[in-house]
Amino acid sequence: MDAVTRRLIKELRDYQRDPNPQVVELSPTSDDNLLAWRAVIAGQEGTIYEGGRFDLDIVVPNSYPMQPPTIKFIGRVCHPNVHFKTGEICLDLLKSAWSPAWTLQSACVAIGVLLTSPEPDSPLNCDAANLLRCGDMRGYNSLVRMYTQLYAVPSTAAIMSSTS
Amino acid sequence: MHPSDTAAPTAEQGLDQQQQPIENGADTGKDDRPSDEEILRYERAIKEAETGASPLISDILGMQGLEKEFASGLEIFQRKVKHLSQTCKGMRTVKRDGNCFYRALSFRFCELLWERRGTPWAQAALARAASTKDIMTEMGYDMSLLIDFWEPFETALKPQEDSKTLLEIFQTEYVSDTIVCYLRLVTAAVLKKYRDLFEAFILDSYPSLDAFIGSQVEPMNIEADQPHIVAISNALGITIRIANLDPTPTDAGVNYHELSPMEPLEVPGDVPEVVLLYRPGHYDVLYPSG
Repeated sequence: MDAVTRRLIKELRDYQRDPNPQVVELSPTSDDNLLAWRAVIAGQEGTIYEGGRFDLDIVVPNSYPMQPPTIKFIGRVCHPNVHFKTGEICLDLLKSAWSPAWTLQSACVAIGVLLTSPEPDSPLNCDAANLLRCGDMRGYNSLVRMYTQLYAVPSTAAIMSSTS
Repeated sequence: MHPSDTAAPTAEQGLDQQQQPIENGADTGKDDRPSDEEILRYERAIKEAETGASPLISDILGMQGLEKEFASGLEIFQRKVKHLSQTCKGMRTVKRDGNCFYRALSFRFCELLWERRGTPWAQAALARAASTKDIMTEMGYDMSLLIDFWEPFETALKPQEDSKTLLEIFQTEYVSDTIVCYLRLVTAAVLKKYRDLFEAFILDSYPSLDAFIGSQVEPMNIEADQPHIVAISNALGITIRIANLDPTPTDAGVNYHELSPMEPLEVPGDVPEVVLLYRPGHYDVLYPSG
């Protein structure tokens, strides 16, 4: 068994034994390819992402954990550091600040933390970032709530897609 | 919503702050914007082109290379290089990839263990190196996940068939980088363990020790500085002596900075030290005469 396979199996077991409450799903997409994973993180209660379930697509390189995984949102997420169309995430730990001490689970937790701690100075979504930079919290909060309802809350998202 | 003409400067500013100077980087929102992966790959390709030809760590070389490098430099440098040539029998150059301190230190440390195999010092140093796993666990690193990073270091610490085998280990990129990475994590663990001591040096420039560790210690390709060196010297129980090749005037020929561990290994007889050559932004291994 190669190092990356051994490590990923260990990570999967660790997650199954002791999952972080914010990471509601984390597993390889199929049994025969350990390098493609899917995760779901839950928007934290009491925040503007509350009620949302956010799907993440995780691609693990062969050089993992020396190199970071590539993680993207699959559905639409309104957030200054997430590309609205591609789901790309601007988070230093997924790029230059990666270290093998991180795991797929802890990276997902960090993405969950990023949701409620945006960095508007390095935006991928300039409209969302500009609202924050102007201090328009009311506008920002309602915009995020709306998109969370539209795309990430399972019940309303289903209604929206059936009526559109 | 804001008019799109405000979007471009904002994006540009953001990219500037991440130091990703890509010409069309301001086109955030358009589909032809390079992805972060592409930018990283591009950065790596540039660095690789600069440093690709040099080995991770070289054979022992004479001091002529250094003399040549500074032949057209300031007189003060030439004087210091001449002094080094007279007092050192050789050096090993280490790849300039931001990992040079850790690579130089770990190689020379393992080489000393090989040179002095079977001595009380070697036994004590090996035991101290093995105890770094405990510091990691104590500070919350999951050693069951990170054992893959300890194992290549453990192999390198133990006597090889000959000294050439050790060099081969450190010239094999994956193994060599794994050892560098392990030392980075040990450094981070020691900084956390002696948080009160190190915070005083770090909080001037970083919001927290953890932010410093997350951005300046754990990630690969980030150069080591004084706190890192003090921390790893403590972890391994080894004195690190650094010849400082800078333009500061000195009567001593070259200034050496000596960093000794707070808890040195308690063994009888003389105790070896790792000697490195420092030029701003880079470390190499130095072999003093005698």
